Amino acid sequence: MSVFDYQQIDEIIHSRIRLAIMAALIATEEVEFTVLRGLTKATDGNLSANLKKLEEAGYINVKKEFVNRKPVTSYSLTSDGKQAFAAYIENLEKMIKK
Amino acid sequence: MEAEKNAIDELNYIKKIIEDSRRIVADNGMGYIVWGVLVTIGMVLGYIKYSMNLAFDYIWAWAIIIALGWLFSFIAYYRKKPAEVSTFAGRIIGRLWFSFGVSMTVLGFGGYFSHAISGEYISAVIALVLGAAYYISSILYDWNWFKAIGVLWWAGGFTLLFVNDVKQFLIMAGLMIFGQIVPGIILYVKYKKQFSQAK
Repeated sequence: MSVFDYQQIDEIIHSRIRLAIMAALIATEEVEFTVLRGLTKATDGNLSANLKKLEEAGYINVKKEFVNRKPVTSYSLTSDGKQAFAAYIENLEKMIKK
Repeated sequence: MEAEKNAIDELNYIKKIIEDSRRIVADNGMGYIVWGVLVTIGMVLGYIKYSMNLAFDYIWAWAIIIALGWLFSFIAYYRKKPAEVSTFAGRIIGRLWFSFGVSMTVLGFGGYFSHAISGEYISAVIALVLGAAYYISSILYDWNWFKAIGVLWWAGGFTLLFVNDVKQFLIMAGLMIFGQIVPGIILYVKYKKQFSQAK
């Protein structure tokens, strides 16, 4: 497999919704679930499932707290997540320059 | 060829999401509105005092107004709920306005009591500082309309350097309404609209 092989792209990030989540988190520092839902235009269930995958991969941090007695969940990128996203972009750029 | 096209599509998609994320308004504008209303009240009081030759200590009115403004800012900072979204630009802008607020307070009171700045020109100095604050914020937020507000303040500050009678209170009050309260209301509306759509 060459370094430009499309198959070498990170499969965790390589999905429209997870890519959208990662891009939204790279542009911000911390985002609430509801804002992320607005940015990705995903349904609650779909967004939750994909956030779980990113969390299991160690790409995102999850913070749960109560604000005015309501549960609020916020997400941010881990340093591994930032590195993985940077590598993903680099691979895409290599493919275009090829 | 197909892989290249997909890669370009993905990069464009990432760019769009990042741009949408950057456009999120993380400030509800209340600070702009409260400070704008307080300073406008101070300017109207100044106009009334000097145009009617009333005998009240104007500097005490300002001390109360500025104290109320800072009290609001500190309460808002310490009691605020975690933001729906936190951005690096938002954090920088928060610190920027705090530092410019401190500078304006020191310039206003320090300048007055030390006689380093003639009372007639304090409004001009404050307007020029606000111009810088709005201009820098416009770059961090990537909002051109904030840049226009900065230019408005600079133009107002320049004008105030040449107006040293009671009209300066009215000019400064007008600047506060259009250059502080109105932007605050716009931010408030954008903030509410954005998060009502998200919920």
